[in-house]
Amino acid sequence: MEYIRYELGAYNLNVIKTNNFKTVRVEVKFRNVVKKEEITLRNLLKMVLIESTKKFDTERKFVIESEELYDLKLSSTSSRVGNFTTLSFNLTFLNEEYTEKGLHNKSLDFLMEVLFNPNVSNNKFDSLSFNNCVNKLEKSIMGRKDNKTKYSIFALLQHMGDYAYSYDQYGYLSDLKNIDEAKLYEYYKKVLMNDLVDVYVIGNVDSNEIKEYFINNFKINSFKKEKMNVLIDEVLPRKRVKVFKEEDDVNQTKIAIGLRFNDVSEYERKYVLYVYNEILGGSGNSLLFDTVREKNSLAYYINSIAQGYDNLLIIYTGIDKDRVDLGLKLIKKTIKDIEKGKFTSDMFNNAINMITSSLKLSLETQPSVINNYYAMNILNSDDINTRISKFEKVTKEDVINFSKKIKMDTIFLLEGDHNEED
Amino acid sequence: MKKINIAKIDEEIFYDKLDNGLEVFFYPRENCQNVYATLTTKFGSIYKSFVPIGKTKFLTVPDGIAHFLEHKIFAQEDGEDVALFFEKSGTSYNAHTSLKSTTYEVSGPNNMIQNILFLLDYVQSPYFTLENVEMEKGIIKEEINMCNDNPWNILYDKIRYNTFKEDPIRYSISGSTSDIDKINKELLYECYNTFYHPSNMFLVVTGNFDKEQLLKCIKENQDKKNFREYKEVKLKKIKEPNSVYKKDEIVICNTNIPKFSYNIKVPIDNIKDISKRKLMLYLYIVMNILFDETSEFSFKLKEEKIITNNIDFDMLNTDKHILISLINETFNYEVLKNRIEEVLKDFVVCEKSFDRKKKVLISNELFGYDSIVVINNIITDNILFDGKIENDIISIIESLNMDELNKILKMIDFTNVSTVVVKKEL
Repeated sequence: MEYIRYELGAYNLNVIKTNNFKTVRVEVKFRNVVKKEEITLRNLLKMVLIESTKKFDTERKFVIESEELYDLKLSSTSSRVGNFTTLSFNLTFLNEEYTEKGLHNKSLDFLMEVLFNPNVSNNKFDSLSFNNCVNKLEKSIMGRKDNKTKYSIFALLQHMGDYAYSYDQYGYLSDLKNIDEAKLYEYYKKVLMNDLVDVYVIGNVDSNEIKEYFINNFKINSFKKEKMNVLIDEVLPRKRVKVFKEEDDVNQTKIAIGLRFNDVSEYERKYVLYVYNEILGGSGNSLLFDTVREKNSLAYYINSIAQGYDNLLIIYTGIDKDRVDLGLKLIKKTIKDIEKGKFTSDMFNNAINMITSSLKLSLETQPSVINNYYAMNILNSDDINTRISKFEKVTKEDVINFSKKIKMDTIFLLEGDHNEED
Repeated sequence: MKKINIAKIDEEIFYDKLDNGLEVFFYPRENCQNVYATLTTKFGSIYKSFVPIGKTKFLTVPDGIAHFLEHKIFAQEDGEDVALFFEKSGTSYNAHTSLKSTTYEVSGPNNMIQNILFLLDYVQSPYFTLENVEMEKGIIKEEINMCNDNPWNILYDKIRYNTFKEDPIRYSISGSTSDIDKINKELLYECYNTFYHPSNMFLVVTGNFDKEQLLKCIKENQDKKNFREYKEVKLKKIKEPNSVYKKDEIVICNTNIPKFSYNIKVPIDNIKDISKRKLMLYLYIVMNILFDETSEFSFKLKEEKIITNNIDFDMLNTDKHILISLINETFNYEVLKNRIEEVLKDFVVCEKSFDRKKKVLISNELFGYDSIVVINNIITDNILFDGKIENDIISIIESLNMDELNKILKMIDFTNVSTVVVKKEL
């Protein structure tokens, strides 16, 4: 794998040349700080741009064209780390040695059409495409409660303050009502003008040819300066844990628990936190899994996720209504046990092994390779080999010291009134 | 080892059958670090009535037993705990039960020969006790409760339940909480002994490994173990009618947006001179041309706001039937149903679209070979489908033609339909 970064002024082009794949992947990333009032707009833009273009002016024509190009895959995603939100347009196509000569450029042309020739006239997006996407987005906002586990985590974070992590990632119906074709086009222009832009290309490609192609076709030319801070403000945990409950027609109570940590070093945030999380609830051999599922048969799933740049850790599980109290007691005890160093060296070493082997495997797929470089570029992360060796040097004491900085803050319960006989 | 060349994709798969009947499939690749191994038994939720090994009478087991067995395979009498063993080398492991099979998987960059041998060891040494079986019931009931809180799960279970009448494929994979109470260690051993014989199983390994060395180690491991002589499992014959069990049903459950499924049951016995594989490819193409986002149908219904999302397409096959499902989330499911009916009453497939969809199918075969996980799935699906690797799928797709398609379409009754709606209230 050979990595070249071209700093082209208005944007950075990163090319990773490798012959490990039969396909080429391109990701164009637009980055800004999360603004609550822009979430809905941004989600809608994400959908509208890959619904149709000026040249392929209906969804139907657009998808037919992508099928003609050997079924190239085009998707758009939106993700958040701390205060940063990234809107990414992702293209994957077969290397032309498996299709026909000239297909590389034709596939890239399709992506350029999507980004720079949107289905717009008189400064407004095409109404049909716009309305289709509004309907789709409205439905995903309304349908969010179908996934009870995700919903309980979302509801938990809403009770933990007014920060980027507590905003609804799908957007808001009240905002959606006020967006029209013209306002969305204004926002589109704003994104092209103001967002920081990074492009990644991975596959068996010629770096110079790629560079030439982008210089000639990629129409981003406003210079921007990085002046944003990714880290979300620290919040002191509540003196007493607060419990919020919501009733719903569910067979099992969904539990989501938020923990906060404060005053951690960069090293703790990037390394120790993840070892702590792996031991607590990161895998099928974690303390929580062993205590709540294996030893007490209370749950099918119990996991924890670490969100370093939010200063947060979340535990989630589903437990029968009558056994929720016991479950919570066991979870609290498990958290205390780590503070007291009550975990075996085997468990500690295994946690590190699980993390380092998943880092090694992140070199296997195109999206994860791109993700590694993106993290190096925007979060100042270490490269994979450095990360592996730093994880290997984390000590049990590091984990115990860190565990004293993390405190339970909020519990959310989504509970029903079903009995087992129902 | 026998080499299988995958024509026109420029890939090789290696195959061997061990003395005890276990089949192994290897796909070695040097430019990666990971190894992904799956051990599959042809035992899933559809194996409900059979003659247990050494017995003469048919036994009908409770729903959910294949899935319960999958959970309990991880229990060890002695030897190292499965989770601890794998995590030592940073290896991920998992298992899943489907309608027709149960698969155990391991994956990671380290220590893989030992990991694969350990996988064989723990799957081949069952240990079920009164206590450990009872202990598992709480966990599995919570898994069932979790699934019952998901409206999509309810829809998918109901689709099979309402289209089939006798075939056990209609029952849910995990069973209900009351089925779980009927399961005990004796029943688990009956199932294990009947279906977990090496002759009824296969191992697929994809990724970076030395195939000769791995095969040698596996042979040594298997030669040390004693297995009884294998006899084909006697399954209860099913007489599944061609008509659907229930035409229409509305299921009430906790969901904000109604979910709708239009299910066509296609008997395959009278569609002669064409393989099931080809038949499924034709049906895939036709249904996509008629209903996916490249169709006139989808364009119009979105414009009229009858649907907002694309129509999903799903296909399931048994020995005698193919089940086609069109699925969508919409408040206007009644209109959608009528419009689908209208299209299926009378349609012509355009040749240009047909050729484009062939191109899509061929491209996706190539896309698949970028990932050792997908390649492993392709091999497993092939073996479960008809017992062998299809080594020239591209030529099969290329051979699809309009004449044959039109001949097939004449033989299909598109009015043999069952519909299911899942919604909040009547």
